[in-house]
Amino acid sequence: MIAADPSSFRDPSGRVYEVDGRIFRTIAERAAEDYRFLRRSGVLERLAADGRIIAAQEVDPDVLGPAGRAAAHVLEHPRLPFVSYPYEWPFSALKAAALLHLDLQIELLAHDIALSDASAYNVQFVGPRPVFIDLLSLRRYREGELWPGHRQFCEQFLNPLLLRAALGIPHNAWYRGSLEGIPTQDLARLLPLRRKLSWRVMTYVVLQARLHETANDPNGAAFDRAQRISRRRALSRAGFLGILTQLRDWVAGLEPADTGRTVWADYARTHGYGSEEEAAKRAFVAAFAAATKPRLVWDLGCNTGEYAKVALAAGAAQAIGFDSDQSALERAFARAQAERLNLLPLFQDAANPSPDQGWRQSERPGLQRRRTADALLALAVEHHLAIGRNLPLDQVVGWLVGLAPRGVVEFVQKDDPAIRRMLALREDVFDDYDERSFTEALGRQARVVREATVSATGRRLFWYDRG
Amino acid sequence: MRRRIESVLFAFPVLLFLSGNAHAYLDPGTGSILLQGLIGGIAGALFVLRLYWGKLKALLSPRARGAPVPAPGPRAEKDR
Repeated sequence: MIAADPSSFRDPSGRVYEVDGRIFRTIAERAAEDYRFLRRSGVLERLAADGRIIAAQEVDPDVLGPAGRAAAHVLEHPRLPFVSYPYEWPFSALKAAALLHLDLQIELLAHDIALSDASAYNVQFVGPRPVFIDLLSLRRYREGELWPGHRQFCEQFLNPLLLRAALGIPHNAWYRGSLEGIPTQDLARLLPLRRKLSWRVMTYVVLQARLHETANDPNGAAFDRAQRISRRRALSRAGFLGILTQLRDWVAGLEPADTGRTVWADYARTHGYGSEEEAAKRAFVAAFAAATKPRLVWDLGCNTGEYAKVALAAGAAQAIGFDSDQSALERAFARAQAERLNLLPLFQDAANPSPDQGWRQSERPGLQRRRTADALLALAVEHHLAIGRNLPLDQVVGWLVGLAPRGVVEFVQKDDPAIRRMLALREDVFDDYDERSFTEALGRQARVVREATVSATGRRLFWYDRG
Repeated sequence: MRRRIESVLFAFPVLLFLSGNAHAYLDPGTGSILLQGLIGGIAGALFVLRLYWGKLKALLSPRARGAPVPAPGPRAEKDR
């Protein structure tokens, strides 16, 4: 029995199916006319060719059995290496996704095509490049119609970006708890007066929140007025384009209040040279990647993406980086963009990874259920979990090794300056923390292919293989 | 009688939700629609002004004379 993807249920116009690793999309009769209009416009091929919208090819409906035969059309999409969510994206990724969404709307409007929603989940990433994946949200534009995705755009793109740009608060934790994004009324309550004095904040945040509150008016006058505006199709094409270009200008200029604009310059200054120890570590990672030629590497604790870059240069096809440090993520994202690396850095706290959540807890699978990597890099991570977060060493090793069938894990000795600093202000309760316990735990799960000491303080790299 | 009890039992939780925050949980985006109704006209006027300002500049600039007028939208805007 072929079942639809558990996250594909909202839009009755079609469903997404996964069969033997291939991705299909059905288009129901109710959306078929819009789809054919879209196909005739020729804009799909052009946008797919420059990578801004996912490629699609019509296939024989029989491939999906009864579900395919019931549909008007069946399309096949290329499979994405990894599905990520806006609560995992760093600021710059969310901003890139927001700009893609607005650019598509502006460009498609010239072809009389509009987007029926503005869900951030309809954007995915290939390396640091955003790709729009939901063909079913594209439909024929009706002259004068309001922008149906306006509220969603504000809550899922604009407000999370403003949270960081105006207040220096990363969006990730809030967004993870509130999958539909950050409500405009909540952001309006948070912003200090001086932030509200900009006309854009005043319009899109303060005024919108205020208007939303009037919807609670018991005599329903505001609701009736909204209905009249909606029926009258009161937004001219120029008005629609005006709102879209205004928002685009605004979003393009937003930068994190806490890290600023100089991320890339700063990165280049501090990371332009490498010590002998870094060279030894790079050589080990390069040898591993060259020998194993991974399809997808997960770089846990990726920092600025330095070692992911080494793995990519040595033979890995693509990399997903994870880190919980926002400024490191910004640097890694900027590096991936500037050096055209197939690397996507994502926010993740290894001690509390993204859970299964959303409808039936299967709409947005957690990190564990998205383990698609065939190689792992976990450099200078283990001690942050075992010592920094009080997690039992054998569990840490077991979890890391379980993420991918082979990889490189670094062990940090207890008298390393990094650990001494961690323990400087607290009691040392880690009697069992030593290299023997580490290698024993590793040996229970995998064999060690190669090991090497890479620092004067005795930091050691272990290349493991579960096979 | 039974039907009456049933309707009271049904209505009570509904009333509980309704009191206080009247339509907040079933609001279809009233704030967004009202906002678009309010700013659509101004945004449209500004957009048209900008379009013509761009055309005027292109016409007056000797370098760009004869060159096609750039289409409105992100490609024509300055890169920030």
